[in-house]
Amino acid sequence: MDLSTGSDLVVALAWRSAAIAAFGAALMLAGALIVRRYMQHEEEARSRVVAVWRPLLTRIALENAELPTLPCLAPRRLPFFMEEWNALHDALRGDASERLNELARRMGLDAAARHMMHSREIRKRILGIRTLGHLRDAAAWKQLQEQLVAANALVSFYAAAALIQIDAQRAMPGIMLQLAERENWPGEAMARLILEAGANVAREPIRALMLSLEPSKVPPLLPWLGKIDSILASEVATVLLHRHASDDEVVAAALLVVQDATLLPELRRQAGSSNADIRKHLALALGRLGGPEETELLMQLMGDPVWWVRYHAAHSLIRLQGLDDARLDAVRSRLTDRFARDMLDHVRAEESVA
Amino acid sequence: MSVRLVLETVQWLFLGYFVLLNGTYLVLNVIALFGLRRYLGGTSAAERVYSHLQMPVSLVVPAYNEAATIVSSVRALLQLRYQHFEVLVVNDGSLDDTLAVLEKEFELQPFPEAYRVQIRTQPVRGIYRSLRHPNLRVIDKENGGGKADAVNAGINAARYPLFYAGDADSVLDPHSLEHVVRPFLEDPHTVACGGTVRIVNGCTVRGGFLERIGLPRNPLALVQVVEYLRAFLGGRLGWSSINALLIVSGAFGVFHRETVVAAGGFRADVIGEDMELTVRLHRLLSARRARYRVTFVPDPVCWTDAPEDLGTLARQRKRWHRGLAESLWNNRGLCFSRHGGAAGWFAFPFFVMFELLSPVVEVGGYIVMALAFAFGLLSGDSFLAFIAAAFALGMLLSTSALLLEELSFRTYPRATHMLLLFGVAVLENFGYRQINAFWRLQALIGWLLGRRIEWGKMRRNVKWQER
Repeated sequence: MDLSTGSDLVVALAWRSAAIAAFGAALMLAGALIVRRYMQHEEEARSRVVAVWRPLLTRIALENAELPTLPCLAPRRLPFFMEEWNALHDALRGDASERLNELARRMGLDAAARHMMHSREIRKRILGIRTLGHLRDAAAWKQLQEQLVAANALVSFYAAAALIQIDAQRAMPGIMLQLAERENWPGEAMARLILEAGANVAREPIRALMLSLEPSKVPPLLPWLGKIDSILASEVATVLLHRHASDDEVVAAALLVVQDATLLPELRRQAGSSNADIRKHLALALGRLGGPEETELLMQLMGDPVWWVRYHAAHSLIRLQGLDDARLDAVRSRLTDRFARDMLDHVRAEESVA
Repeated sequence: MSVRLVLETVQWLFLGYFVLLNGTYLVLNVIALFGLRRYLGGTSAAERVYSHLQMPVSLVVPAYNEAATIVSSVRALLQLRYQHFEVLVVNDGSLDDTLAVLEKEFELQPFPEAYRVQIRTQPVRGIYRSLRHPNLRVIDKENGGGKADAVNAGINAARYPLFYAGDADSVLDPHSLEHVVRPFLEDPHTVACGGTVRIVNGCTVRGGFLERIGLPRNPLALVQVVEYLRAFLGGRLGWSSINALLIVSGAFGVFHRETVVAAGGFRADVIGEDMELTVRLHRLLSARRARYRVTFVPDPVCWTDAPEDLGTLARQRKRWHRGLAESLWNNRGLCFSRHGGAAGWFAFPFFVMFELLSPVVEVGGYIVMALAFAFGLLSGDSFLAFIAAAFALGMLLSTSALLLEELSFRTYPRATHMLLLFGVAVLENFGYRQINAFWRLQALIGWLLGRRIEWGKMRRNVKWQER
């Protein structure tokens, strides 16, 4: 019985696997070293572009003079230049940004940016979009609207920012729809953008949209709206509170932003809600809108089974106007629930350290 | 004839196993490459968008007999570049002066906290608040239940929606929290996020932060640099891209607090509580058909001390393998479960076949081949062919991780570092991999026989914390 050769096929395959793997490993090592060299080369090229263009761009932006003769810029180095140009633009306003735009148009940045919007590289697409936004390039409106609905959250976010830069009022309905539809948008960052553009430009489209949305889309948007326009948020919340009184999520969101103290009698009825978010947000609302007359209800909420309801109720209680230490001691002595007393002690200690 | 058949079958199995194992990891590396490109492509843009948005994070730091090092660890954490965070040190019934040292250094004062027990733990003896740092609290609890119980006590006291659970002796990147919180901002369904852990041996650390990156001189630590690159940049990033990441490392992980509380917190009766929790989250959330994401950021956010002696390394690897076995066994319901997704249908079976059982195949394969060769049943050529295939495939995998590192972070500054790591990727096949497989086999047998595992003493090699 000759077993010493094993199976020729499997041995041949083993050798072949070993050879392919070893060759692959050598290839990858070579690749790694080439990548390192290439990256170093790119970094050096970037440094050269920055060294030449940063002082020149700053001078052009800040000095009201004729555009000087410009140094040569290889087309493949344009992204480095665009990054510098955008970074400077982010920091400037008014005439200086106009002068940067004039330079950009002379260098054909608008066409290059429109081309970059179709790149498969996210970084390049975003760079193109930012450039068009700074250029306030109305000719790119349709392309930017296409990018607004892109699956990538960052691409769509920057497209929204560019559209706001070009025409905030015209951009707002489309952006609000995205805000309601998308779950992957940084809502707070968008709030900041709208505030920078002037919240009043968005007031009416936002009100119309909020009041026309399905109830399920309202809860994440109301707190967001509270950050950009607390008065509008409160007005919208008041309408929605009446319209969707039986929808727990809408009620909970509305309680967070409502500013109208005349609603207090209505709000107090929510203390019996089975939804902990509603009770928690009610505790916050009572502290924000109410006075000493809310003490009893807040004491009741401090005995809630949910920790956060107790916590916010205690915070609201000690922030009510006219409740000094002596009165708080009196309130404490009337609390029969151990958890409520513990929470009051906790929050008072927290306040004293803060 | 039957001996020939058995031998041929073993040969096919051995070769097939190695090709499949390494092939799958190579596919994961390719997936990871695309994930990296996507991630890095949006990094600077994302940083601009998210720079003003930071979800508050509670940093839970368990401490047991850490009097010599805890002050430096806490100071380093308090210096992290992040707007909203609190540090919760959990003194796990230390027998030394850990609590006294903290009291003195941070002016601790007893705090009448309305502590809520959402996860049952050993009793809490007291809670303290720092007068110097408003965002520092210390929870003093009775010992028992290990790191898991201490972290659970910290989770109970945590105020913020996210919590970080890590080791007190890890060195964190100052921007680590920004990186790891980003997935939670991008996708509100994210429940856990891990980050890349690197080896701190050979680096210079000052004041709790990395000052200079270098490679260790100790050969054991050097091999672990390649191992960590392979595991984090290739494996974890690949699994994360298809939402099948089964481990968020205990050295650095950020979790959504309410989700972890609802899942019952960390289990104190297992060795690998970090992996067990991650697999459990997959099992529970997928069974509920909840939309969720367990993810991973490739940025090097945490640097950890690697064992430099065989004894400590052996104990660590045995613990890890035991933890793997327990995590998979305790959550076996995830495997091929109806709504298990990629985690249940790909990652779980893969981990059973190619991680849990790999020491059986590796050690078994080497023994059978060596015996067959020794008794003249296998030719020298055949023996060499199989050894060469196993080694070369392993080397290919390690080199692909090095390539990923070059394409992404280029953490190690010199080309000579890369060549040295490549040399290590070749040399680790001659002894290191085999001894590792042997330790893991021991751990597997110990687990099957229900033996207790010895923790032993971890020898520290990095001295930055000592006063």
